[in-house]
Parts: sequence; C-alpha cells; structure tokens
Amino acid sequence: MDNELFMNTQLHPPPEIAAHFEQPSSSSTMLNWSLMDPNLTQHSPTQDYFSWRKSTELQQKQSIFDSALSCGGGDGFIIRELIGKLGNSSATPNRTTPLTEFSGDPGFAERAARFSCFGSRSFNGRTNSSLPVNNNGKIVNSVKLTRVSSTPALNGLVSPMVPAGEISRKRKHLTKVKSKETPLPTVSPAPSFSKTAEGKGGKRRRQDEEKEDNTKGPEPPKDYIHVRARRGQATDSHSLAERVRREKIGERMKLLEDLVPGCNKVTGKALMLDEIINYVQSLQRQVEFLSMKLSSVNDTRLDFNVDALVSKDVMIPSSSNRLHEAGLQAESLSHHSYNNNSQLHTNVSSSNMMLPSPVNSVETSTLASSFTHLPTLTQFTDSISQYQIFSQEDLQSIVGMGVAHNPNHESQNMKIEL
Amino acid sequence: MNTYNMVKQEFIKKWITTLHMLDSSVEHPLNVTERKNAIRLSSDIAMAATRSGATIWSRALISRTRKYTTTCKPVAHRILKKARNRMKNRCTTITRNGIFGAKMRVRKRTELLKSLVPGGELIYDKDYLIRETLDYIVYLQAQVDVMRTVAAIDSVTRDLS
Repeated sequence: MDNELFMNTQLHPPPEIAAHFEQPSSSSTMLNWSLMDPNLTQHSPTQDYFSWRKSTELQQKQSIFDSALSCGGGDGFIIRELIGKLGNSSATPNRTTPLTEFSGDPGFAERAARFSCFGSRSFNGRTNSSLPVNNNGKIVNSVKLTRVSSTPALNGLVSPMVPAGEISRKRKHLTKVKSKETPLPTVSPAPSFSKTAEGKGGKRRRQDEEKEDNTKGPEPPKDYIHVRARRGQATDSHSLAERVRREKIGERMKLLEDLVPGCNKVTGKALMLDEIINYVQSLQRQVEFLSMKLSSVNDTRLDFNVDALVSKDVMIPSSSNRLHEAGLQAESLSHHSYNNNSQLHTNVSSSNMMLPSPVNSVETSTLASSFTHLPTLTQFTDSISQYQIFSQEDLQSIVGMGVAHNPNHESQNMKIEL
Repeated sequence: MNTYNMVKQEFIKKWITTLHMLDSSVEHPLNVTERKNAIRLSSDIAMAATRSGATIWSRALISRTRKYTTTCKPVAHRILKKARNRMKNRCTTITRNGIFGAKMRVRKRTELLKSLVPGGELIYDKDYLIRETLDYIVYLQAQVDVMRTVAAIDSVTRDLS
C-alpha cells in the first residue's frame, strides 16, 4: 500500500489555479469569492510564512471558503463545488472562525507531497523528485570531499524509513570497519575527487565503508561513501564518521526547509529547529482546535450508509488536471449561470467520480454528530436525494448520472478496509 | 499533488472507521470535552493507521492512545504486528556531542522536538529524528487539511439551515 501511496506527483501549476479563480470574482451574489482572491495570489513560500505568522497570532479572520480552498488539490475543488451548489441565497459566512491558514497554496501541498515520499519504504525506480537530487548535487560540490560512488545513493536524500535496528547495526559496523585501514581501490572514477584538497604530505586516504542508512530496506548496501580528510583536520575514524553524520543532518535540514514554510531565510541548526518546533506545535494546536470545533457539530440531516461510501471501487481520477478542470468548470457553473448545462454534461463522467469524495467528507461530520445522537444509517439513495435539497437542477443531473453509472453502490455493501 | 490527495483519502476512510468504532463503544451522552477527546483520539489513530505503523511516530501514537480506549486495541495490535514484521523497534546508537555554546542550544531544541514528536524520546540519532519529524509533519498537515475541510462543510451546511 505504501508503494501506491507515494507515486509520482504531477506538479499542478499554481498560477493556473489563480487565473481560473479570477473569473468568479465578477459575480457577487453567493459567496465571498472576492475575499479569497487576494489570498489566492499567495503562492510564494515567503508569503506563506508570513500568513502563517499572522495566523498563528490569530489576528486574521479567514473566510471558511478560503480554508476550503486551501486544502490541497482535488478535494478542495470538490468541496468548493459542493459549497457552490449548496448556496442558493446570499448566505455569506457570518460565523467566520479564525481558522488558521497554513498550507494555503497548492504548490505548498505539492511540495509536501513530494516530501511525503520521504517516508516511503521502497524506492524502486522512484526518481520523481528532482529537488533532492539537486540538493545532493549542491552538497557534493560544496563539500568537495564526500563522493558517492554509485547512483542509488544519490536518491538517498529522500530516503525510505529504514529500520532503526538496521541503523544501529550499520553504525556499529561502521565503527568496526573503520578500525582497519584499507587502501582505496584503484578504480574510483570521481569527478569530484579532483576537487579535493591535496592536504599535507603524509595524508592518508581512507575508505569509509559506511553502510548508508538510506538503502532500500534489508538489501545489502552496494555503495560506499568515500570520505577524504580535509586539510588540517583530524583524520581518525571517529571524526570522519562524525563529519559524515553532520553532513547528513545538514541535508535533512535543507529538506525540512522546503516543508516548513518560511525556513529559507533561517540559517543555523538552532533556528531551523526553532521553526520546526513552532510549526509542529502549531499544527498540533490546530488539530486540537479543529477537533473541538468538530465536537460541536450538531448536524443530523445527512446520514449516510458508511458501507456504501467507503468502497474500494471509488475511483479517484488519476490525472489531477482533469479533476481540477472539472472542479473549476463546476464552480464557474455555480457562479455565472445555472443554465450552463453544456458545461455540465461534458464533465459528467469525471463528476460522478468526484461525488463520493464530498460525501465522504460530510460523512465524518455526521459521524461526529452521532456522538450525541443515535446514528441512523440510511441507504445511499436517500443521501443522494438529500443532496437535491441543496443543489441546483444541474447537480441533480450529475447525481442522476452518477447513480446511473454506479448502480451497485446502493445495493451492495462494500468492505471497509483498514 | 496526487500523492497528497491519496493520503487524505486514506485518512478520511480510516477516520470514518475509527469514529464508528469509538461511537459504538462509548456511552452516550457525552459532554463537549469527552467528544473532543474522542474525536482527537480517533483522528490520531486514523493518522497513525494511514501511515501503517511504518514509522516510529505512528507506532508511538498508537501506543499512546491505547491507554485511553480498549476498543481500538485490536486495531492497534494489528497495526503493531504488521509493523513488527517490517521493522524492528530498536533505537539507534547514542551519539555524543561536545556540549558548549551553540551546541547546547541545538541540544535543548532537539530535546524539545523530541517531546513534541510522538515517540521522539526513543530516538537518539538526530538524523533519524529529523527524518521522523519530516514524515510526521506531512501527515499532520494532511490531518489538519481534512479536519478543516470537514469543519468548513459543516459550518456551511449549518449556515444554510
């Protein structure tokens, strides 16, 4: 499952989204789209950082649609479409909550997704992220003395989660191996080797046979890190190992920079750690706050059958572009006119696949409410019919199409897998 | 983008399941605090389950939440068993740094980070700790995104009623 979980991510260009969002600002009937437009232009990491700063002080009241927008990718569009269909009146969010806005731009979520492969366990042919390679390239050049003799280690920056036990084994082996001096092999093509300093006479070349902890799982490591002692530095095995470790930590810090917003200005390990700690703390506080908010949910109108919803057969559109386009079209539909059936019908095929996702999201809110009310589980068709209360006729046609395309949903019980 | 969405989809599914499990086990009525705790608990378990116990923080989360509920125990056991097959839950070696000045600051912050990340106290290797933190941050973001979406939808529907 983890293999599928972290696949190649397609970068969806943020400006395209911003451009699309300029359209709805014309109509002002339903929602506070105008409120969201300036926020949409925040795509740069620095602005994310500042918006994060402000929001951590809870000075900024964001519209809930903004927050709905800020969730990454297709889900955000699904939600928006749903919200767009729901609101018929000029119901603006009177009760805006001071929701903090973190991952406000899809680009940031994209970066997060890229680094989510950080946690994958096997790395077969996964050379999607060019960024770590660039980082590694930079580091190799700057350090000038570490050279990785084989390419798998280049991808090792975004490395799989190696078992801790294996790391301990490898480190112990490292200290053991270092005790014996082995001459450097003659065959060692290294372009960066030429950059290494000559050192004083009597400098010894060491072969650091460190088993890198970023190889795939239990496979025997094939690559070596050749560490050459710099001029004027200690050359004993322990300090070399220390230095390699420190450099690895430096690499990780750089990765973290991309993940935590606004870290690129910060230098030094202590300050970086400060930022990271702040970010983790604020995320955790957000979770607390959101769970408190959800606990006050008191909505029993929409009760769904869980089995019908959580199904393996729910197809997620593979191309995010198509989803975005469909979501955008559906959303512009809600704004400009409700008679744009032509737009709608072209997106029916993708829309009916989007349908289960918003249903899932509403499902959790109903479940949250079920803590105080007895859960009433109705069939899927009933829930669909409840959508019609809020929706326009167009959505009804989508729903009709969706049900027609997937007639099995309401009749069968799908398995919930954990 | 696809990956992040899939993470969130997984998280939603698992959250629904854990909510159901908790719902069936807890007596009604609950006050607000208990509800909040239950929601928090279920979402934490769901987040850890999404990670399939492949990381230290996810396993630590599960073991942390096991204290509070007995119904999620089978789930927790299953996840931990799966995790044990893949990885051994041993800590890394202890490394020593010279402690003075800047290093002291770094060390203090590292310990603070350890206290934040679940299971961080078990990790001695700073390198591994930072890797765990990265992974944890991504999943925290997913969790926050999903919860925020659900809350937004809910408030919208409430506005309309």
